[in-house]
Amino acid sequence: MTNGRSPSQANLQTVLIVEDDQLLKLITRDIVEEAGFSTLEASDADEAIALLATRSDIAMLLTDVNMPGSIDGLKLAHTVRARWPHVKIVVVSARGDISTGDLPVDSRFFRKPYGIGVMVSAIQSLIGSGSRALANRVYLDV
Amino acid sequence: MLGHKFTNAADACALAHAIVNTVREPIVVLDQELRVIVASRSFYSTFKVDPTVTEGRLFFDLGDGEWDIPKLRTLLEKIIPEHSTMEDYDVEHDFPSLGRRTMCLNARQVVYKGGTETTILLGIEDVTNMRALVNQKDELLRDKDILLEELRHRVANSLQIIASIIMLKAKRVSSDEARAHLEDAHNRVMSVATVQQQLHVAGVGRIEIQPYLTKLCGALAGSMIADDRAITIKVLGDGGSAPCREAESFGLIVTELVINSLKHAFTGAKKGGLITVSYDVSGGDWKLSVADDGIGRLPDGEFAQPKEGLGTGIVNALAKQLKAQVETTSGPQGTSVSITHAVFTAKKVRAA
Repeated sequence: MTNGRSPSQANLQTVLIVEDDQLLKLITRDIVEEAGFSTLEASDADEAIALLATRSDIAMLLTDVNMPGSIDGLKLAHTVRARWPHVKIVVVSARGDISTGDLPVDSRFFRKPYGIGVMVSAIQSLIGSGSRALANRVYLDV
Repeated sequence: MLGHKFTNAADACALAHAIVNTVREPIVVLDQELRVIVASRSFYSTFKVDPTVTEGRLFFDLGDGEWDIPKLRTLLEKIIPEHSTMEDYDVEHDFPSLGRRTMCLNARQVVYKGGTETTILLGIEDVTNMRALVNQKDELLRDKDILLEELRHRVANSLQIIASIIMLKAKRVSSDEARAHLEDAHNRVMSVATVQQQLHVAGVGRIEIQPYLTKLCGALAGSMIADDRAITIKVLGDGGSAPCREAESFGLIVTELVINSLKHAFTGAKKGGLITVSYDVSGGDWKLSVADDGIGRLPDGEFAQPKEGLGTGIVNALAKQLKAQVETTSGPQGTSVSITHAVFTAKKVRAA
């Protein structure tokens, strides 16, 4: 069953960051906001699903895999693909055993540590260039 | 052999009884109906049973029915008709005199020369402690894997934090020089992390270089080539393997040179292109090279890739550690850096 609404593209500018490590969450928020997007934060999949159920402006899910809670980040990604198909998905993890076959279709995976440039580039190619002034800056890791 | 030593059956029988009563593991001799003919002294002492209530009874009726297990019954019942054996069948049970134990059962048919009678020799070994040790070892190995994975996870997360903080700082400083240094530091952290990650995937001991470099370059492309840059990294070579330490150096060299190409070779009009990484082996010799088809020289004739600097210093130091020579060529076709290790056997000069 799809509970997701289909909001217009105009107000899709928020990235939902799901990460249980507070410092990593802070850093990820900085990266995403530097790229020109608003952020919402959750510490586990349950919090993330609660936010997705009440907010219509979430354009992208950026989730870690290993987290406490009822489901991990991979299951969260599949749940989001099924219930909110318009939400773009980026999965990050330090785990070496994750392959594209584990991910929902049309999602991206980055192994930690990832470069900021490729992450920003991926976010921008998935949901646009962002609305804030900083989005116009060029990010390259090399 | 024994047939030659004993001329009468009574002596042979006495020897058989002596063997059965001497071995420390309980032994039971069963007839064709699986009734106990005789059991060893260790059987009676281990299971605290008396010969008078054991001999002549069905094996499955002994004790409180601990041996009355359908699968065990099936296995024992087919030994004689199928001339088969039963090997390492574990029975876990709360034995009245022993408590919870695991017994490993082995059985085989004994066929007597010239006779129609046949018996089954059933050995019972208490493997409780051994199985517990094996389980404990397996648990420890699992714990070790979990700890290693956890450690790797923490290191990767820590490197992510370090790399991200450096890069975010680089975005915010006003000095171009400071920014360049911070971006350089970020790249060093990323390159060490990427090599360690790929070494972890490749395993321990000797590393197969071709698949290792292929995965490493795949990771470099994934983490360092932004979506809008049409740059491909190709890995060529004819296999070969190297110890973990050498493989780590190869990885750091390749990462350093690939980053150099990504940073300097595809600028200006040349936005995209190909980086070729190759590793070739011949006997004890090998050659590792990274070549790009980007801009080899700047319009002013200078090398597009720096001839000096930290990156070059790292490559030279690693090459020295590998007892190899570095050679750089640069021209209109791009830049190529080769690290060659050649073994030269010294010839003794003989007097004429």
